[in-house]
Amino acid sequence: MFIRTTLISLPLLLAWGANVHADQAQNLSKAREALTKQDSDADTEKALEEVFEAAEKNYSLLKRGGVALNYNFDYSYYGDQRIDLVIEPNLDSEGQPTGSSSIRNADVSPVASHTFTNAFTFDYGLFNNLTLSARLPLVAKFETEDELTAYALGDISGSVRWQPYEYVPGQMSQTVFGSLKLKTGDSPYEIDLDRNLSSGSGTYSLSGGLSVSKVLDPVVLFGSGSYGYNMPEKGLNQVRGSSILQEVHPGNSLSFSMGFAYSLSYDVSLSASFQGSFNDRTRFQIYTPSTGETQSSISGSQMSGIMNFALGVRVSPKTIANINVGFGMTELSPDIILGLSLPIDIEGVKPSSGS
Amino acid sequence: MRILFLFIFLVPGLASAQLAQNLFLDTKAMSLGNAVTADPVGIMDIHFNPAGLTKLEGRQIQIQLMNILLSSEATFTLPDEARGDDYDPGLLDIRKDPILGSDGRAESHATAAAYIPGIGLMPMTLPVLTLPTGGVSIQPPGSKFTFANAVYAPMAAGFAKDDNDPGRYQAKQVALQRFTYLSPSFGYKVTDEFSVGASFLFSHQAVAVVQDIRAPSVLIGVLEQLQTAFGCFDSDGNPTGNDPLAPLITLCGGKVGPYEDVGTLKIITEESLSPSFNLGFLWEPADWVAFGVGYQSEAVSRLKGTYDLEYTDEFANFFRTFRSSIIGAIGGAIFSLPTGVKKESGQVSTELTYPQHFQTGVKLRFLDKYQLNMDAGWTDYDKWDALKFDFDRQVSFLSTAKTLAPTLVSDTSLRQPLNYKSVWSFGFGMQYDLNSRIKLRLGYEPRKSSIPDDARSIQAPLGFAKLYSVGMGYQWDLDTVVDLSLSFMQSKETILADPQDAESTGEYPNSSDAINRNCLTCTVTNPYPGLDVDTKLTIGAAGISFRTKF
Repeated sequence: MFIRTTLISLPLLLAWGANVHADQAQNLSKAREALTKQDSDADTEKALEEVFEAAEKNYSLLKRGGVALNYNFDYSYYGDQRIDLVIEPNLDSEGQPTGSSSIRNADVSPVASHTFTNAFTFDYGLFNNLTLSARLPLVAKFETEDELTAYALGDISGSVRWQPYEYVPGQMSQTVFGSLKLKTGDSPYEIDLDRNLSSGSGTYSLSGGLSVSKVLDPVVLFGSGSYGYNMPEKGLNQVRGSSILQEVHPGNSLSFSMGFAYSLSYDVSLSASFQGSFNDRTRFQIYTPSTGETQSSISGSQMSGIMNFALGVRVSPKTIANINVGFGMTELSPDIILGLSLPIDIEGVKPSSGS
Repeated sequence: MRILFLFIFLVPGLASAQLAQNLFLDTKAMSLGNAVTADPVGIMDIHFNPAGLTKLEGRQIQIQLMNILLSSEATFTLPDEARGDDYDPGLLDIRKDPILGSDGRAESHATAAAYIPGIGLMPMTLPVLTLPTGGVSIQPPGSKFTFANAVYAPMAAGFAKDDNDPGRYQAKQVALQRFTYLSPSFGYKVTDEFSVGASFLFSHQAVAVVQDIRAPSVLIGVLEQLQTAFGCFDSDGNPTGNDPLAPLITLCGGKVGPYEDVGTLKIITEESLSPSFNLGFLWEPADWVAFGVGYQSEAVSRLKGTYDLEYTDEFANFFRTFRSSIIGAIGGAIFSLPTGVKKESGQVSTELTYPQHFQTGVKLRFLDKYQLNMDAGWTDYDKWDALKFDFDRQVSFLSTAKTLAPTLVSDTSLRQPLNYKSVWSFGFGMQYDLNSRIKLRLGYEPRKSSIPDDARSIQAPLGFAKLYSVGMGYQWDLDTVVDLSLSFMQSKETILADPQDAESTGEYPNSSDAINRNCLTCTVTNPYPGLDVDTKLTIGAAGISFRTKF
């Protein structure tokens, strides 16, 4: 009876013993695994990429099916001096011009224009290497000279970002992008210039380009180049002095940017970037009703440059807030740029798993 | 010449008052006479009282369909005084108004219309207009905050008439609407008894009007008589080729007269982003009583858009020929008379204040199953004293009209006096809990009009109106509520013409200066001088809303 019991027990015992061995081995490998680097681990390189992508959205892609909503607040300031000059011809006693003229008013007044843009950007990962994105800007604008105020929708835009080659850590990552901008904002060519401010560019535009980045711990270097095509606007009817603006043929643009992001700690990073843009000349077709003439006027090509510095701060384990300060380097670019960008958690809208 | 300098045209007027306030926003609110400041309705508390959002647990979604039947009628009648044999019509014979039938009456019918961004004014010819509304709310587990967002139209008024409707000289097509496309809101439960809330609203505001213009002025009457005296046209209205004083002055280029059409004016303006906010609190000290306050801020919209003015051939030809005569060329240049172009267009801007609104209410429960809601609301329509359109260039029809109405018209602007008044209005609601699932509701809202008697018109045919409604709330299951409502509202107004001697005495006891006043300087705002006008606006609405957790 005893023997039988033992005989029966033995395999059980052995089995138990084997189990103990297996468990130990598993624990060991688990421990090893735990010690090796995980994807979810917070190593500096990963953190660096995260902060970089939080600051430079154009370089990031979402996983397939992933969604992200970002809120951006941007402020820009243009300061200028305007000369208000009134010159009147001198008249003789019969009211005929004598040929000379005198200056009635010469006044230099400062003009300030403040623009606040609240933008919501929605990203959706169509594939692991293809992300679609849409941006909705809400613009508030103030100009001090004529005391004008405007609230309006800005130009809504959509873009595609595609990574042709799979990202290999340590290698240069390349992203091809294309975007389409609609003229949903108030067009500068379709408003009464004395009473309203524009909130958009007034033209449709298409652009495409390539951006590259490379991680050199603790720094990420990045740069991009793109070409933009601006569609002409016809059939306009805008008063410009004594003439009517009928057509605008905006020049195309060539833009490039470069910069670096530097990780100060797990929580804080800094980045500096330069954005430059060359705009080809723009042609305006102007009709003068008093003479019945149609003329072309051309504004020359222009270069604009912006320097931007951003500070990224991890405000929660999943959230990085970015604050940026910048300035324009040419006459046409804003004098001051301030910005804040925050991801908005839209996961909470969906039922959390398990409930 | 004097006649021509005083040429005057009708200008558009736009108006809409209480019509726009608190209508069709929420099914439950409609069935309780909009007396819901102290009785949260659901996600549309974003509008009524954002503090009520704290009642929404978990994640909820609400969809609502409001089906609206609208009928707007106006009748123009020749006053009895003008029907007598001894009636002296003077130079402007109102009996010859071509809109009137042989019996001296004319009926105008309007259907609902809406402004659709990017498309324009759309007449809604379907018998039933369905207004969809939707929203979501989220209360994170354990949080005192409830967040919500909805898409809705806090102000919507629009009418459209046929091309040959007698009412086409006043708002042939008109839309005044505010559409809120983003409304992030929150309610915060301070204590079990007390909640506060706020909403931040991002809206689209539109003002659009299309109307035919005529100039029923005594002066044009004189001009018409001159054309007759000159024998410009034969009995069929065809030109005879006569123009006896040419080339000194030519008056036979095209037929003009007080009841001839001048053209069609179209003004479409919008603002794509008009920010405003709502605030509210809710205090429920006991089971049987609750107090609520809701405040909707004002929003000053700077609307911008385009105008198109297309003159009739007759009108354009008259001025082209006139300007080619010697006196016409000189006088026309001095007084900036129309040059005879067929079409004018450009940019136009205007400013409209969406008025602030304050509403407070109480909810009382008694005898276990009964509930009584009472609300009082105030809307700041004093802000609507006038609507001014600024044009980006000199418009010839304004240049001519300003001679007669210099206070209303300048070369580049046009002012429509509204003189609306802020009013207090009340609402009452009654609810009976039939059982734990079904709540029966009754509502009554006597809606006071903000429009003073002398500013009534057929573009805002809404005087004092009583809104009656019945409704039902049905608790489908633990998480789902269905609300139903049926409402009816009617406004009737009678705007009589003044006695014939009104202009000589300077007293206008009956008429409205926005439709039927008959005087030399009134032509700008009165396309139907001397006629009696009756307006009737009837609105029926059936609403259904569905709210559930997700």
